[in-house]
Amino acid sequence: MFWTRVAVGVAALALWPAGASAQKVIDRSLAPIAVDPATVKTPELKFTETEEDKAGYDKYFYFVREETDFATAYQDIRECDALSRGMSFYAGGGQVPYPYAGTLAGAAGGVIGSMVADAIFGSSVRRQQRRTNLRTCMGYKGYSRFGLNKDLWQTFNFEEGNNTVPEDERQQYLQMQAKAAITGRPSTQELEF
Amino acid sequence: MRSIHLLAAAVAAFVAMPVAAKPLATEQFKANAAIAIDPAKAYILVRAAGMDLKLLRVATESERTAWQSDRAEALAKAKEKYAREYARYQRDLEYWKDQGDHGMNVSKPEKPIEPTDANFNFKALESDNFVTVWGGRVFDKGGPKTAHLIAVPPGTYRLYGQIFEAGGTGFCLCMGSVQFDAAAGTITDMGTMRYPKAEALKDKVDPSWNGLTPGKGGLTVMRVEPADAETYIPPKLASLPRTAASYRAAGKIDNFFGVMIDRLTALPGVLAYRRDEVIDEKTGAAVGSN
Repeated sequence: MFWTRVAVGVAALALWPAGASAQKVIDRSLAPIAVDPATVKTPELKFTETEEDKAGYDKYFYFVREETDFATAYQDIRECDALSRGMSFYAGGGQVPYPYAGTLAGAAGGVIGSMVADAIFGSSVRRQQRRTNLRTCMGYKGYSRFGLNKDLWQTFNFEEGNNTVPEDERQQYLQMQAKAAITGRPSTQELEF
Repeated sequence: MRSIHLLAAAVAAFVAMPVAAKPLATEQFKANAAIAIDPAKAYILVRAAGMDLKLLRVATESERTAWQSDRAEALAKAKEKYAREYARYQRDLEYWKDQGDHGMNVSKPEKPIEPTDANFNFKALESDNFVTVWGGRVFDKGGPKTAHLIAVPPGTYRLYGQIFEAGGTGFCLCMGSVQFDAAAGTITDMGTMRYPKAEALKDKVDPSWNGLTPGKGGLTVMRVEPADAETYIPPKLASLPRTAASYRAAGKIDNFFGVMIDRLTALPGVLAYRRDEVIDEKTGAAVGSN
C-alpha cells in the first residue's frame, strides 16, 4: 500500500510540467482586508461539554485573545492560515512557487512536493498538519486555545487536506474565527498550546 | 511489483524533464574528501544536520532588482494575454446569450481573472537560493555529533529549517530564525544544531533548555548551539581558515515547502521574541518579515 502511494506520488510528479506553477494568476491577495466586524456573524460558542466533546478537542477548537480587536485577530488568523498551507504572505499573495522548478533536488518543495506528500501520506496527514500549524502560529501570537463541540465548530471552520476551500468561503470562515477570538475568555478549560 | 515498475517509470520520466531553473552551485564533502580551500567559495561547517538541513542564501540587491524586472515583464505579458482572453470571453458570452432556450447546451463561459501586481503569481525571489545540507553525507564522525561540510557561493545565509527532500515533509523556521555571513575563502562554523523535543523524547526526559520549556514556555523544535572554544573541530579542518558564524536575528518568511511551521528557540544575545514579533537582541529592534 505504501509503495503504491509512493508510485502514484512520483507519477504525479513526473507528469507535472516543469515551471507549471509560474505566472499563474490567482483570484486572491493577502493585503489587509478591511471588514466591518458588525457585518460578521458571531459564532455560537456556548455548549454543554460531554466526554465525546473532550475527546475531539484535538480537532475542534477555537482561539481567544483578550487584548485584541477584530482587525488584528482577522489579520493574525489570515497570516497563520497562509503559513499553514504554504501560501505566500510576506512576499505578496499567491501559492508559493516551489524552489528550483524542474530539478530533482527541488522535487519535494511547494506545489509538487505537496502533491507527492499528499499522494504518499494522504489527506488526513495534511489536515493534521494544518491543525498543528494553526496551533503553533496562533500560540506564538499569544492566543489561547479552547475546545468546542464538533457541530458548533463546523459552522465557522473547515478542514483542509488534499482539497482546497474556495477563497470567498475561506475568508468568511476566517472572519467568523476572528469574531470568536474577541468574544472573551470562556469558562471552559484552556487547552495545551 | 507493479508499483515498483510504475515508480521506476515515473522517476525516469521525471529525470528526463527539462531543467527550468538553476539552484545554487554547492558541493557537500564526504568523509574521505581532501579539502583545499578555493578562495572564490565559502565553506559552511555544521554539526547534526538531521534530515536534511535547509539554508537559504539571502538575495543580493542586484538579484532583487533583476527579479523585480523579470516579474514586471512577466506581468506585462500576462496583462496582454488577459486582454486577448477577455475579448474572447466577451465574444463567447454574447454567443452563449444568443443561444437562449433553443441553444446547444453550451455552458456559460468563465470570466478570466485580471492579473494585477497583488494577485500575480511569479516564482519567488528565493526560489533558486536554497541550499540543502544532506544529513546522510557525513564529513566527520569524531565529535559528539556528526559534522557536515559544504562549499557554497559566498553570501548571507538564513537557517531555514529541515526538509526531508524525499518525502516533502519537515519543518521551516518560518516564524523567526537567524542568519549569518559566509565569506569567501574561509570555513564558517555554524556550531551544532540541537532538537530539544526530539532529544528529550530519546532520553525520556521532559524537554527544557536555559529555563525554557515547550509551548508558551518558548522552547521550540530547534535551537542553535554556536561554536565556541570547546566545540569539536574535525582534524582535517583544524589548520584551515575558520570562523564561528556571527548570528543575527532573521524575520518571518514564507513556508515555501508547505511543511510544518515553527521558529528557532530564542538565542541569548541574538534572537528574542515579543509575542510573534522577531526581536534583534543586539539592537532591541523588531526585525521585519522577508
